[in-house]
Amino acid sequence: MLTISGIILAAPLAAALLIFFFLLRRPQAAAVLATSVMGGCFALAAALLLQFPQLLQSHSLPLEASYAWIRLPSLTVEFGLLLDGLSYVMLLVVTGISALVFLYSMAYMEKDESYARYFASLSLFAFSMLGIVLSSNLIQIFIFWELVGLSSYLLVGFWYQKNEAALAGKKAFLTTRVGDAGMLIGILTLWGFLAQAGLGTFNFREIEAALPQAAIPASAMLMIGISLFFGAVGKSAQLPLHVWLPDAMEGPTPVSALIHAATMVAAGVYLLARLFFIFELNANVMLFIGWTGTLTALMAALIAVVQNDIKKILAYSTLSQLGTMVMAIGFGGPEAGMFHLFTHAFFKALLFLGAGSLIHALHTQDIWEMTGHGLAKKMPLTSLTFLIGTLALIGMPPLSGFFSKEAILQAAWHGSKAAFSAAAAVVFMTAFYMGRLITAVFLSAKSPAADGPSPEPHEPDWRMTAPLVLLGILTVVAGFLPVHALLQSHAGPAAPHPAFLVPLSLGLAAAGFVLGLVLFRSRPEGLSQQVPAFKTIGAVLEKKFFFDAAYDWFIVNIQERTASFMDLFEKLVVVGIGANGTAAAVRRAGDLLRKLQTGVVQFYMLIFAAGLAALIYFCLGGAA
Amino acid sequence: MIVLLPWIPLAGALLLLLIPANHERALKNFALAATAVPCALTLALCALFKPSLAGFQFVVTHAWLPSLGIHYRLGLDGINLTLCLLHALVSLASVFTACWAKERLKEYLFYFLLLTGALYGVFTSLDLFFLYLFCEMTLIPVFPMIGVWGSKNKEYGAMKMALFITAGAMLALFGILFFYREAGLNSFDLITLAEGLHARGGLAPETQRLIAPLIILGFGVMAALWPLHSWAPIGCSVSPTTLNMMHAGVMEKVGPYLILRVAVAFMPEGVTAAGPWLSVLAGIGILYAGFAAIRQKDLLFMTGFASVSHAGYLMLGLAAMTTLSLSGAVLLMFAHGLMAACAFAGIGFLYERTHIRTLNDFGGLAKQLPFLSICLIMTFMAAIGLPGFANFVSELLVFIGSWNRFPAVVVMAVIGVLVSSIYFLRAIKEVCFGQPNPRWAALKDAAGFVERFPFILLLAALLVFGIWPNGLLRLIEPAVGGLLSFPEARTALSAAPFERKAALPFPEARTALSAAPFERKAALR
Repeated sequence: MLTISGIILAAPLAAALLIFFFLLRRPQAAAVLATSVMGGCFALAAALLLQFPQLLQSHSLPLEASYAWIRLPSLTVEFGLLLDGLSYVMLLVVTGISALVFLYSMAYMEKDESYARYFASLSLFAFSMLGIVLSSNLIQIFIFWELVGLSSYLLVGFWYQKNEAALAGKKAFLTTRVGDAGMLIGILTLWGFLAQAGLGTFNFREIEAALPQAAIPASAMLMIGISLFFGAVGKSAQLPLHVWLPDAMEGPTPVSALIHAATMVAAGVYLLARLFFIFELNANVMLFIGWTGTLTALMAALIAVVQNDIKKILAYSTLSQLGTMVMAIGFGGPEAGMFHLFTHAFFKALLFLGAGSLIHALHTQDIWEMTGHGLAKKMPLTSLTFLIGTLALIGMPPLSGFFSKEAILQAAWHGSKAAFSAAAAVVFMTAFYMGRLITAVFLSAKSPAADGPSPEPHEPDWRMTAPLVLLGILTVVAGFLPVHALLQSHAGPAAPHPAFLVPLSLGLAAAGFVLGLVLFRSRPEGLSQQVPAFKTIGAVLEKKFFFDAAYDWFIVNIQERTASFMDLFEKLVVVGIGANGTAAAVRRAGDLLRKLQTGVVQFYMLIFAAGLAALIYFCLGGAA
Repeated sequence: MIVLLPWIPLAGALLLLLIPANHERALKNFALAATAVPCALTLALCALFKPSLAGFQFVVTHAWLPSLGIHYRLGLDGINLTLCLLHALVSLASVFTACWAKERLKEYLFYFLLLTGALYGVFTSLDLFFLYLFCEMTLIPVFPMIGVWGSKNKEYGAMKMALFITAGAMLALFGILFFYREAGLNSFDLITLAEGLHARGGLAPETQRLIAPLIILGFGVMAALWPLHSWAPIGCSVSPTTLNMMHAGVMEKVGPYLILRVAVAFMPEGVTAAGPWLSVLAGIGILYAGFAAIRQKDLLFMTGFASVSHAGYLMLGLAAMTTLSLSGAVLLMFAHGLMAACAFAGIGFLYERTHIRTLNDFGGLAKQLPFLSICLIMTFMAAIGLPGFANFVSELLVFIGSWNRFPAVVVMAVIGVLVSSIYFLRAIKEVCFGQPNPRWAALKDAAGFVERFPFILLLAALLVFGIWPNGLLRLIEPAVGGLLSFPEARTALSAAPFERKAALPFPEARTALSAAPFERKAALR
C-alpha cells in the first residue's frame, strides 16, 4: 500500500518535470500527460479502498515507511510516508478533485499561450499537496508546506504580465510564509524540549509517544501550540493572515477551485487534525484555535455579503467555512472539522468550477452583470450543479453539507455556547449571501443598465461539464460515505446530539436563503442609502474590516521606515562615521604628521638637538 | 594530485601570458582548461575521499622553512573538501562568464586564474603560514580587476574593500602569531599543533579567550560580519561579474573557514565565551542588512546586502558551537556560495548587456528572456530558503543546532528569512513580471552553451545537494565532530545535550512496512 502511495506522490512530480523539460513547446501533449497522470493517481488511490476494510479490521493502521534523508549522529530527519485513515481521506480528496480540475482546465485554459506551463505548475501543486498529506514528520510537512506556497505563487501569479496577478502571487506567498515562520519556530521549540529530554525526533508518532515523558512545561506547550497553529493560520487563511486568499482570485478560475477552495487551504485544517495530539495538551491553545476560527468564520461571512465579484464571494465563503472547521477542531471536534473539510472540498470545487463556466460564457465576474441572461435555460447543467453546490453549502439535507455542518455545530455546542451562537449566525449569513448570489445570477430579470450586445451564453464542452456533473453527484452522496470510519481514530467518545440542532440550523439557513432571494431581486443600490446604519456597516464591510488598510499602513509606516532607518544608519553611521570617518581621521593624522616634514634643514637640526638633549637628560638623570 | 589543485591555475596564469592577446579563442580555451582540470581533480578527490576515516586525507608535506616550523603541507578533511568542491564549481561557472568580457580579455583571465589558484591554495593548505599567505594572495587580483573592469565609483569601492580586508587580516595575523607563541610548538602546521595541544589538554582557557576574538573579528571582516560589513555592498556594486561571483561565492567563505580552522579548532572555550556576543552581532546583521536591502534600488547593492544578511546565519552557526550548527554553517558556505555566484551571474548578464541594474528599469523579462528569468527566480528562491535547494537544509541545520543555545537569535534569523523574501520577491516581480518594457525589446536571452552553462551548473548543484544533503553532510559532520572532539570543547559544550539517546521503540510501525519502497533503507537504520 505504501508503494502505491509513493507512486501517487511521485507521479505528479514526474509529470511536472517531464513537461518542464520536454513538453513546454507541445502544450496539448502536456495537458494530456498531466491530466492522465492525475486521473491515474486517483484510480490508484481509489483502488486502495479495497484494502482498507481489512486493514481497519486488523488494526494494522497506520502504515509507515521512511528513509533517513539527513542522517547525523545527533539528528535524523526522515523522508517518510504515513498512511492512516486521516491521510487516506485526504489522499482521495486531493487526487479526485485534482483530476477533475485538470480535466476542466484542459478546456478552460485551452486558448492560453502558456498552456503547458499551467499544467506543469498544477502538477507541481498536486505533488506538494500530496506530500503534505503523506508526510510522516514535522520537517517533511514543513518542506511540502513551503512547496505549496511556491505552487500558489506560480499559479496565482500565472498571468504574470498582469500587475495585479503578479502582486497577488507575491502576497499569497509572503503572507503564508509569515505563517510558515511561526510554524518553524514551533517545530524548533518542540524539538528543543524533546532534545533536552534526550528524545529529539520530528516523527509524528514518536513525538506522540515522547510527549508524556518529556514533561514540557505548560507555558512552553502554549507557545509550541500557538506557533504551530500559525502555520495553519497562514495556509488556511485564518485571521489575521487571511488577506491573501481573496486577492488570490487573480489566478485562473480552475486554480481557485483547486488550491483556494478544495485543497491548499485544506492543508491548515489537515495540519490541525494531524497534530491534534499536540494541541489538545493545552486547553488555552485549543481556546485560541477555536476562537480564531470563530472570528474568521463570522468576519468572512459578513464581508461576503457585500462582494459583487462572484469569485470573491466564493473566496470569502471559503474563508468562512474554513473558519468553522478550525472552530470545530479548536472546540475538540477534529473529526467534525475534517468531515466538513471533506464535503466542503466537493461542493466548493463545484461552485468554483461552475463560476468558471459562467465566467467563461459571459466574460465577466460581476454578479450584477451576469443578471438577466436566463442562464437557467441556456446553461441548464451549470445552473443545476451550481444550485446543488449552493444548497450543500447552506446545509440543506440530504446534501453532504448538511451532515458536516451539523457535526460542526454539535462540536461548537459542546465547546462554547458563545461560539455556537456565532456559528449559527454564520449558517444564516451563508444562506443569505448565497441567496443573493443565486438571485442575482440566475433569477433576476435583465437589469436596464446592461444594454448593448450581450454575449450569447451556452454550455461549455464536455471536459468542463463532466467535472461539474461528477462533483454534483459527489456533493449529493458524500454525506453518506463512510468517512467517519476512517476518521474515527482521531475521535473521542461520541457526544450527544442536541435535538434542537437540526430544526434550528435548517430554519436559519432557509430564512437566510429566502431573505437573500427576496431582498436582492434587483440590485439594491437603495438599501444602504436609505438606512444610515446600513451605510456605515456597508462601508466597514466593503473595506473588509480594514485589514488590508492596516497591513498597508504597517508596510508603509513600519516596514519601510525600518528599512529606511537601516539604510540611513548604514550611510551615515556605519559608512559615514565608521568607515569614512576612520579614513578621514587617518588622513588628517597623516596631514598633521606631514607638516613635520618641512624640508627645512634647520628644523630637522632643531628637533635632533632637542632629542639629543632629552636623551642625555634621561641618561644622566637615571645615573644620578 | 592535491598539490596540482592550486598550481595548475597559478602556472596557467603565467603560461597564459605567453599567448598573444589577439588570440581570443586560444586564451579562452586555455583559461577554461586551467579551470576545468582542477575542477575535475576535485571531483576525483571527492570520489576517492573516505568519509569513514578520521583526520585529514591525501596529506602531502614539503619542508619549506623548517627552522621556523613552516612546511608546505596539504590535506583534506570533509570541511575543506566541501569548500574545494564549492570553489571548483564556482570557478568553472565563473570562467565562462569571464569569457563574456569584451575588453582586455587576456589580463582579465590572468587575474582570474591567479585568484582561482590562490583560493585552491587556501582550501588545501594545512599550514597556517601558507593559509595566511594564500589568503592575502587572493586580494592581489581583486584590486586591478575592480580598477580596470569595475563600474562607477570603483576607486572608492576597491580601496575600501582592500583596506577593510587588510585591516581584518592584520588583526587575525596578530592572533595567529599570538597563538603560535602560546602553543610553543615551533610549528604553524595544523596537524602538529592539533596533536601537540591535544596531548597538553589544549591552550589555557584565559589565552583562548584572548586570542579567539582577534581571530573571529579579523577573519569576520572577510565574511562581512556586522558591523564590519560596509565594504561588501559597495564592493559588490563596483566589481565585474566574474569577480563578484568568485568573491561572494568563494572568497567570503575564506574568513569563516579560517575561523573554523583556527578559532573553533584550537580555542573552543574562547569561541564559546565569545558565542553570545557573536550571535548577537549575527542576529543584528541578519535583520539590519535585510531591512537595508529592502531599500536598495540597485540589484547589486541589494544582493550585496543580502550576502551580509546571509553571513549572519553563518556566524550564528559558528557561534553556537554544536556539531549540528557547525555542520550547517559549512553546508551553508557551500550553498550560499553557489547561490550568490548564480545571482551575480544573472544580474551581471543583464548589466553587461543593458548597463542598467536598477530594479524598476526592467519589467516583463519573463516573456522575453525566459531562460534567464527562470534562473533568476530559482536563484532567488534558493536565497529565501525554499526547500529543494541546499540553502534550506543548511539554514535548517543552523537553526536546529543553535536553538538550545541562542533561541532569541534563531527567532531573529527566522524573521530574517521572511525579510529576505520581501526584497527578493519584489525583485522578481519588478524585473521578471509585469508588462514588458519596450526599451529592452532587442535584448536577447542567454543562448548557447557558453551563456547558459554557468547557470545550469550552479543551480543543478544547489538542487542536487538540496535534495540529497547527506551527500555532503556525511563528509562534513565527521570533520566537524573531529574539531569539536578537542578536550576543551567537550566540557564547554556539555550544556548542549543534542544526543539522541535512544530511538523510541516502535516495533509495530517498523514491522508494518509492507512492501515499502523505502523498506530496505529504513531497515538499515
